[in-house]
Amino acid sequence: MACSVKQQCSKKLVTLLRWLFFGGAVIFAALSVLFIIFIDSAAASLPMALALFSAWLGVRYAPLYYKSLSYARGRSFFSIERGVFWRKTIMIPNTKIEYVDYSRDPFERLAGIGTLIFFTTGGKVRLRGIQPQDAQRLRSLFSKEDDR
Amino acid sequence: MTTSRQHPAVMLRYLGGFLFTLLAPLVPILISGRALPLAIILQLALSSLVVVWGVLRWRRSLWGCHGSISLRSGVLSRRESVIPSAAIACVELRRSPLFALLGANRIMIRTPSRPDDDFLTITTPRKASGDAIRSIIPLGLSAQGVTDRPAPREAAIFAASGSNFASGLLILIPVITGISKLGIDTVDRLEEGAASLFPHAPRIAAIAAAVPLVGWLAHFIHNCIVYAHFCAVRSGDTVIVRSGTISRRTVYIPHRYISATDTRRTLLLLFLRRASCSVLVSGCGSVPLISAAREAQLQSRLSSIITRPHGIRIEIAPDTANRFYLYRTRLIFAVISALLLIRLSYGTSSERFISIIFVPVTILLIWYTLIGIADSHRAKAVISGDSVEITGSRLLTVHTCRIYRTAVAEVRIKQNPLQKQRGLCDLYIRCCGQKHGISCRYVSIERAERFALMLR
Repeated sequence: MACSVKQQCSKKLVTLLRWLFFGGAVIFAALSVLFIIFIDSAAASLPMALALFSAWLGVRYAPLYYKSLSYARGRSFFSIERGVFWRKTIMIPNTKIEYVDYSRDPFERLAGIGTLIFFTTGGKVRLRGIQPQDAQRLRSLFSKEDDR
Repeated sequence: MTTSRQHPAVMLRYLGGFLFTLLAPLVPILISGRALPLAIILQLALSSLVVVWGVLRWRRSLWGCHGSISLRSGVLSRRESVIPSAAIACVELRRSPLFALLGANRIMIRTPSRPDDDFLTITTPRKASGDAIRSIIPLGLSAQGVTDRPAPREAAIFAASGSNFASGLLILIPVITGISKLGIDTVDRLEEGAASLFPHAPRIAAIAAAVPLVGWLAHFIHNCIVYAHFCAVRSGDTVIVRSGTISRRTVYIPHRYISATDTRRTLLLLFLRRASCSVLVSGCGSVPLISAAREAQLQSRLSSIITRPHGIRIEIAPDTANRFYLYRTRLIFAVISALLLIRLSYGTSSERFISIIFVPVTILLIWYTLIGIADSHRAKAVISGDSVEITGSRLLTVHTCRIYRTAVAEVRIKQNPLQKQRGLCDLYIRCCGQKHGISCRYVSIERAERFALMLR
C-alpha cells in the first residue's frame, strides 16, 4: 500500500455519537423513573445501569471510537481501520470497488456528516463520519479510476 | 448531469399492500352508507399519512444517466448512488399488467456486488423505457441477431420438468383463500374432488395423493404461461432473454458478464433425452436460455448464443469400477424405505396410516437413486483453453457447468475416509457469484490434483 496517508473522519462524528448515546441515556433514565413510580425501585436498577453505561459511552467511548477510525487510499488498496477494543483493518483492492454510495440519515444530516458505502464484489463496507465534500472527492477518485 | 423523476406508478411499489389493508375495511361501510365510526376515521387518517409518505418518496426519487447511472432516494434517510455502466451486470425490463395500465415499466439494474434480491429499480414511462435501457447500459446490439425460440412441445416439456407441487401449492394458497372469502368451503370441495379422483382409496390417502397432484398441475400451468413466449436472442455483444405472457420480462445481459452456462437434466428430461440450459451471471443469478432441447441439438443451439470452448481438452472421469459408489448409499436407503413401506402397508391400521408418510419418502429416494445412476454415467471434468466443464448431480438434477476459467472462484478436493482408503476424492468447482458448486465424485486423487493445478 504505497503512497498512502492516513486520514481521520470528521470530528463531527464525536458530536453525533454523543447525541445518540446521551439520547439513549435519557430514554433509559426516563424508563427507570417510570419503573420507580409504577413498579418498585429494584426493577428500576437495570434501566438505571443502562442509562449510566450509555452516558459513559457518550463521554469516554465516542472520542476513542473517533480516534480509532481512519482511512487511507493507497495506489492499489483502500484501507479502513476501526475499533476501540477489537481493532479491525479492512483493505479493499481499488479494482474491486464497483461503486460508492453516500447515505445520510436525519441525525447525520443534522451533524453535517454521512456514511460512505463501498460496494465490492465480495459485499459492502461502510465508512461513517464523512463530510459531503470529502465524500464527493473520494467518489470522484474512484469514478476516475473506472474511466481509466 | 440532468436528473428526472420516476413515473408516479412507483408509488404503488412504495405503498404496496399496506394501503390496501388500511382502506379495505372502508369498502363495506361506504357501500352500506352507515356513519363512519371513530376507528375507521383514525384508519382513514393513517391511510392519508401513508399516501403522503408515498408521494414524498416519489418526489425524492430521482435518476439520471450520463455514462454512469445516478440514483437519489429517501425522505428522512437520503441516499445517493452513482453506478458506472461497466459495473452493471444485467438489466431487466418488467411489464406487469397493472403497471402497463398506468403506462409504466420497471427497469431493474443488477450489479455483481448486490445480492439477487437487492437490486435497484427505476420506474419509467412505457414509451421511454427503451431509450432508458440504451442509456443505462451500452448494449452493443446488432441488426443481425440470432433468435432461439423453442417449439410449443419443447416449452411444455420445459414447464413440466421445472414444476413441483410445493411451488404449486404456494400459488394456490392465495387462490384458495380468495375462494373461501366468497363463502365456498374449499376444504370440503377438495375432499370431494380427491374422493372422485381416487374412489377406491381411503379418504386420507386420496387427499394425500390429490393435494400434490393439484399443486403440481397449478405449477405446470403457471410455468406454461411463463414460458409460452420464451425466447433467447444473441444480438452483438448482448444476450436478450424474453419470457412471460401476462407479466413480461426481458433480460439484457452483456456477454462479458456471463460467467458460466449450466445445463440441467431432470429425470423427465433424462427420460426424453433432452436438456435445458441457463446462463449464470454474477449478481443476476441464473437466467434460462434454452428450454428443453434434444441432446443432439443442444451444443449447436448453445453455440449460436455462447461461443464454443476452444483449445486442447483434458478430461478426468471416475473409473468404471468406481461408478457404483456414486449411487450405492442412495440405493441402500431407497431399498430400506421400500421394504419398510411394504411391511407397514400389510400391518395393523395404525401401521398402514404411517405407511402413507413412506410413500413420498420412497418416491424421492428412488428418484434420487435414479439421478445418481444417471450421474455415474455422465460424471466428468474437462478443461479446455477458455473454460472448465464439470458434470455432477445436485439434489434431483444432473448439472453440466461450463465455467469460464477467469470466473472459477473455488476448486476444492474433498475426501471421506472410504475415499482415502481407495485413493479417490470429490472434485468440487464453484463459479464466481454462485453459492453452490458442482462436484465430480469418486475420481482418482492424483488426477484430480493435477487437474486442480492446471486450473490455477
